Amino acid sequence: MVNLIEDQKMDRFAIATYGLTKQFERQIAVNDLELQVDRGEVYGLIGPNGAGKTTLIRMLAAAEEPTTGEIYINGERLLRDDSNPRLKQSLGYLPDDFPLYDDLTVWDYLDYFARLYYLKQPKRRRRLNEVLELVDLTSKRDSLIATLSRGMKQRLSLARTIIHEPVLLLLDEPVSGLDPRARMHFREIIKVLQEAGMTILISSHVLSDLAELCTSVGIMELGFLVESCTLKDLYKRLSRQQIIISTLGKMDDLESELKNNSLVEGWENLNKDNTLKVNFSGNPEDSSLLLKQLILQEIPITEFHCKNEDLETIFLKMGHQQVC
Amino acid sequence: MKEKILNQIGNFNPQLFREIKGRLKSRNIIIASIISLIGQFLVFTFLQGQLYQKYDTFHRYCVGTPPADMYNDYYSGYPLNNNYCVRDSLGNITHIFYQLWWLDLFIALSIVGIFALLVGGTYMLISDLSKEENKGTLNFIRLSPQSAKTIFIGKILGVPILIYYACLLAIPFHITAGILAHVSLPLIFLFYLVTIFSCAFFYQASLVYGLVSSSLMGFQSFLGSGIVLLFLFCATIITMEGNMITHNSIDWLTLFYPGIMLPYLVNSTFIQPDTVYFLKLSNLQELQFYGQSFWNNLFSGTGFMILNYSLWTYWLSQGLKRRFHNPLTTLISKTQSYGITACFMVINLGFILQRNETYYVQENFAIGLGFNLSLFLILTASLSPHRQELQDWARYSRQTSKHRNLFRDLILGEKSPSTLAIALNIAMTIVYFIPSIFLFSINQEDKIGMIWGILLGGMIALLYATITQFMLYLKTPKRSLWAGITLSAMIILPYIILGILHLSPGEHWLWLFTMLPIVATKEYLTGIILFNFLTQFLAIALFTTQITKQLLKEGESETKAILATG
Repeated sequence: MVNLIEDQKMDRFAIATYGLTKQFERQIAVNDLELQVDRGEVYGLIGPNGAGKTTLIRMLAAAEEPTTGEIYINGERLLRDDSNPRLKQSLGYLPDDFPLYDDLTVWDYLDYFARLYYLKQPKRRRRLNEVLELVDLTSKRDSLIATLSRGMKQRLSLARTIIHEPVLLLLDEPVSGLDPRARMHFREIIKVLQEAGMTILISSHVLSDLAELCTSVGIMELGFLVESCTLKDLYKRLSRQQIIISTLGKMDDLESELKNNSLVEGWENLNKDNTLKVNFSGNPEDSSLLLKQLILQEIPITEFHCKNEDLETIFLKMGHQQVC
Repeated sequence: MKEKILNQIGNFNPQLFREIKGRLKSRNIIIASIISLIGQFLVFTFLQGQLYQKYDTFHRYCVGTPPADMYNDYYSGYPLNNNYCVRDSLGNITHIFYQLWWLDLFIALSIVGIFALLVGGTYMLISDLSKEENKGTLNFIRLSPQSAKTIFIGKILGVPILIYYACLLAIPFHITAGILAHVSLPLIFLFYLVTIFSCAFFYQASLVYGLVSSSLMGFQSFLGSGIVLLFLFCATIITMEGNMITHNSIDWLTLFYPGIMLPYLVNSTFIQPDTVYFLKLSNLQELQFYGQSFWNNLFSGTGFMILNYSLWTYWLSQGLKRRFHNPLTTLISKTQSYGITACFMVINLGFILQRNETYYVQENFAIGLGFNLSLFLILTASLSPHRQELQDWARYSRQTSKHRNLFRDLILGEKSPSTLAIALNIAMTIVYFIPSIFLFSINQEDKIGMIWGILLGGMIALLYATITQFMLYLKTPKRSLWAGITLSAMIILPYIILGILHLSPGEHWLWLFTMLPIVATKEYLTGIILFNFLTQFLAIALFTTQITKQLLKEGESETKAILATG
């Protein structure tokens, strides 16, 4: 009975790890990690270099064997042997490097992987066309892979990763080395995949991208998962409200008025002319009262807008805190 | 049509589909066709040149009888039979033994085909697989739901596909030559069948080699195919010269050469063996296995070869399967090692027991034990986990199995040190080999000497295995290389010293420390042998204790860490 409940519990998660550890020599790359990711989530994995993100993703993709611990994908135990072809069918893994076959054309390459994942005609042709369109490589379908640019190769790798419609997508630094336009394109693709219902685990150093894409985040440090919760919770707990205020008048007037408001915790002079970034602990009604107060004091306000601290700031601010 | 066939191939095996797509391009097909046609033309032209050597009095393809007065003043080097070249008034040879010429052409094409298939195929497979492993593309195939079997069948059928194509182009010419030489057509097809089995064996071996040697970075394909080339070269020479049977374990090696089938084909032409001169069936028929002459009969002889190929192809495929799914695991499991040793010792002893004379019995056992030692060295390399796996085993195995039985773990478990498993493999062989000595009517002293030889041989193999496992636990990143160097030094150095000092087996006890102490054991008193035995035992104990200590230390430090965090 207990086992049944446990199974049902694990079944709820797209990813569940228990005591997952990977040790190289004396260095523990992933340490007794307990990770649970709900189905349909986009889970962002962040952390400094050497935190163990790549090792964790490799273990989740069955590309690396854990030293100890267990991994469950959709409630099924993941093992590194030939016993789980069905489970492999449900995984898509894009590593941070993307080796390809230079002697094949784009179409033949995807056709080959579609066949490796047992896609039959006519679904195979339809799916190939779909992913080529999604990654914007339809015009390159008959080109040799050797002739593609880095960005195109990256998109082709993503196309290969999703060709078999995996339910879980593991992306390790997918936007590294891409220019801003290619990164934006990549983000759009991820959004489409999320809408299609895939669970996506993505590691990246570009935190603004993650903030835009993710529903949950995990922060790794020295092999430990020091934080794992929804993005909403994270902002709620750790992100302070900030108000950007610009004035045409004297800064001293503005600053003296701000001092009078008990909800203002401090401010920072931005490098722009007469603009302050104010740390504010009140709610939207309080910020509205602050604006009213400044106007009544005849301070010539030209800009007044509220925002939350971004993910990058939270990450940097956290340091070594273990919060959740 | 082409697309439809390709599509069906792709549904049958996606890996084969990929290889065909990448390799079977018009340019490559044209090049392969040209090479095949030029190859056939060269062999044909070479033999045609032999046919029209106008100035010879005696020649292999001439069938005339020399004039009676010629015997007195002319020595030709040929047997005085029907090799005299009768010429017409224009100097043209009038009687030519075309059947023999076609037979020579058939054999030449067969041998060229064997070389092309096995050397070219192994080179391409090793090179392809190590390239995929180094580049990282093999990992994506690993992560797909396809089985190792499907992938490697695809590789074997697809990577050398241009060589297959070139060989297929030569088949009409080959069969024509065979028919004109009056070679039995079913036998030609049987020869093709044996060649296919030999390809399966050599190709599986090269895939295993390609997977385990990817760190050699590009050199391994030359090394691997070079070894195959050397083997085929030696096997072809000894087969052609008619010395193919040596009445010891080396005969087993010869059975891996598909050209060993050729004497049956030559025999089917009914040309006198002395006229053909090479590939004599009578020589092959001398071969015995546990006293049985399987090779007297075409079907039992060929059946043995096919079974031999199939058995070792099977074991190779097991290693391939393990290594494909997990590139860091040992090539074979401990359980598999016992099966491999059992097959090996049964076959090896079968070929050892071919001679009864005292000298040959000792020689055969020495060669047979040399074969055993090679097996143990290969097993040591395939079975010994490296530092990381040993550390994982020492640190975490207690967590994964609550009722851990150390003894069972050392004999059957994954990642545990290999020494006890190797010892068990050696013990199996010793137990199987020693009773066979009593089958021979040789004197008691020789028998005791041989028994000591087998025991000491086992001991030295275990010492090599222990030291290798010890070296593989070293911290240095090049531990495999150091283990190889140390082992080679331990094997070669005693022989160099003994060679420099010109010491024969009876003159110095250092012979007892060589890899084949059996050549010297009968020369020494039991006391000296026992001393040697004890010394080796102590050395094994010392290395085992060292490695155990270090492993315990790893386990303890981990336990401390767990307690500290708890």
